[in-house]
This record gives sequence, structure tokens and C-alpha cells, in this order.
Amino acid sequence: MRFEDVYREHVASVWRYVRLRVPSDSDAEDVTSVVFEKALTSWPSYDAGRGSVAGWLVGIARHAVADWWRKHGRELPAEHPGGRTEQTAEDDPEGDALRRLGADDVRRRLGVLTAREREAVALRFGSELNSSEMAVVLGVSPSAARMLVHRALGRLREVMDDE
Amino acid sequence: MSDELERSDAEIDDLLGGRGGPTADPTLLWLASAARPAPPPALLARIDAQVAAAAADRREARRADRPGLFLAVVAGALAFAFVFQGVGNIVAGEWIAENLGEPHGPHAYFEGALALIAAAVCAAAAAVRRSWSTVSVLTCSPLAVSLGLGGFGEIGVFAAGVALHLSEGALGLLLVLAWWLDRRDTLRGRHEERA
Repeated sequence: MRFEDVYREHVASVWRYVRLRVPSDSDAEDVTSVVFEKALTSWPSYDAGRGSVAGWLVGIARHAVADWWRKHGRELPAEHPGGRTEQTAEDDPEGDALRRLGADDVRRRLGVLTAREREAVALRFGSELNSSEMAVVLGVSPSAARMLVHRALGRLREVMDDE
Repeated sequence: MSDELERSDAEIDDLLGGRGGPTADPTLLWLASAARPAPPPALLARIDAQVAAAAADRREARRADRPGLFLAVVAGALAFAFVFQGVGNIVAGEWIAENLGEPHGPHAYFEGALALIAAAVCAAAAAVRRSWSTVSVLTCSPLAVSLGLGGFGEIGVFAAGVALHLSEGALGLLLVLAWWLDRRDTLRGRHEERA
């Protein structure tokens, strides 16, 4: 298996996952680029016996997204007073930033979800992982992973109805 | 609840697999579409460039580790000589002993042959990778020179043995010379690149 083939097969799903986790497309491009840079470096040590390539790449992407928030979370503009929704920025700075600064509807609406639900939606719809693969990434059972997605969809329905 | 989760999960699978019908949940339809845009061409170009640069680096590293022709030929020839002697000890040990005028010891000849074949692998390593050549020189050249010196004792006794051992001795010395020249050229090339 050549890295070039792996990259071509998985670049879209990695990009979509990352895009749902950071506020703008340009940020998503930077993070996706970092993901493949790290993947390229680690490719010789990739062990197919320890999991699928998709899961391996998502693992790298999750770390890259976490690094991005650590570096840039504090640089993002602060919320206006009185503009908070039910969750506070201290609870979930990523959700708060996505709600306020998300470049499109999907990211602003995902900002309303809890961090776990948002992650579950990004894995299910962005990376297109199935429940079992999601469960491995999230460290939960497949039914718990399905439940997270189910709850997230319920909340998104409420948000869309309110709009 | 469990059935509902299974159904919802299957519906998502269908939708992501392009099998969802117009009756699918509108939230699911929206999410499946909004969450899956095509990656921008600029991103693909950027990663393409990273991958291409890494591939070029790998090629360059492989090229840099390829030994020079002289070193490769000498190391290959010494490996061949060791294998020739080792295999000769196994298949024609009795004839060799007879020509040397000594008793044939099949056990010692066989084990000596195995050691020579192992030394041949070590010598051949220098013909494959420059980074392995130092170890090849350190292990094979002393052995080859020792065999070469031993060959002088066979002059006038066993012509084939003399020819083989003197060749091994000469190749052992040539391996040191080839390794030194290769190393000198490599270091010079690096200095020039830096300059």
C-alpha cells in the first residue's frame, strides 16, 4: 500500500472531519495539511494489524485539531456580553467559537451540541466512519456511539425548528 | 430504543452510501450534504506537493546510500570469492585436503564453510548500501588479508588454493581502498553542496 494511494482515498474524509471541528475552511486546510504531513512521517510505522487506515488518520486528525484549538483558541475574538447560549465558553470553548464564528450553518449549528456529540457527528458524517469504527475512536461501545449521534440529531432538529 | 437507534444508524448508512430516498429525515439529508463538500483544489495541490517532496527526499536518500561502482564491484567480488571457497570446502573438501597433504576433517570443513558464507553476506552488504560498508570493511578485510597471507604458505603445494587466497587477500586490500575513496568522495560532495 503506497502512501500516495492512501492519501487520495482518504483526503476527502479527513478534510470533512477537520472542517466540522474548526471555524473556517482556511483553518481546516491548514489542519488537514498538518494531518497528512504527520501521517507521511509516521507512515513507515503504520501497522495495519492495529486498525484501519481511516481510523489511524482520524486519530492523527483528532490530535491535530486539539493542537489547533490549544494554539488558536485564545486568539479567537471573545463573545459579546449577554450573547451566551445554554453552554458557557468555559465548558466548551470549541462549541462557543463555532456558534459565534463558524463560517457556515453546519458549523454554527454543531456549536450547539456538546463536545462529544459534535465529535460523534464529525466522525459519522465527516469521516463517514460506521458505529463500530466510531466506537473505537471514541473509546465507547458501538451502541453508545449510535446514541451520541442520535442525541446530536435530536438537538440539531430542535435548533433547525427554532430557526 | 435500541431498535430506533439501529434504524437511525441504518438510515445514515444508506444516506452516506447514496441509497437514501426522498423520504429520508430532512435533518439527515441536510447534514449528509452540508458535512460532505468536496475538498478545495488548493488543499489537494498543497498535499500533493508535500507528498511529492517527501517522495523526492526518499529517492535522494536511497541514491545517497548507493555505494560507488568501484566499492560495489570489489565488495561483490570478495563476497563471490568467500562463497566460492565456502562451497568448495563443502563439495570438494576431500580433494582440497588431498592436495594440501593433510587429513580431511569434514566437520571442520563444513563449519568453516558456513562461516565463510556468512562473511560473504557481510561483504555483499557493502555492495548494496554505503552505510553498511564500514562494517563490511572492518569484518571482511582482516579475514581476506589473513587468508591471503595464508595463501603464501600454499605456494608450490596447491596452485588453486594459492590463486584463491591471494585473490581474497588482494580483494581485502582493495576493499579498504575502495571504501576510503568512496568515503572521501562522499564527504567532498557534501562539502561542495554546503558551499
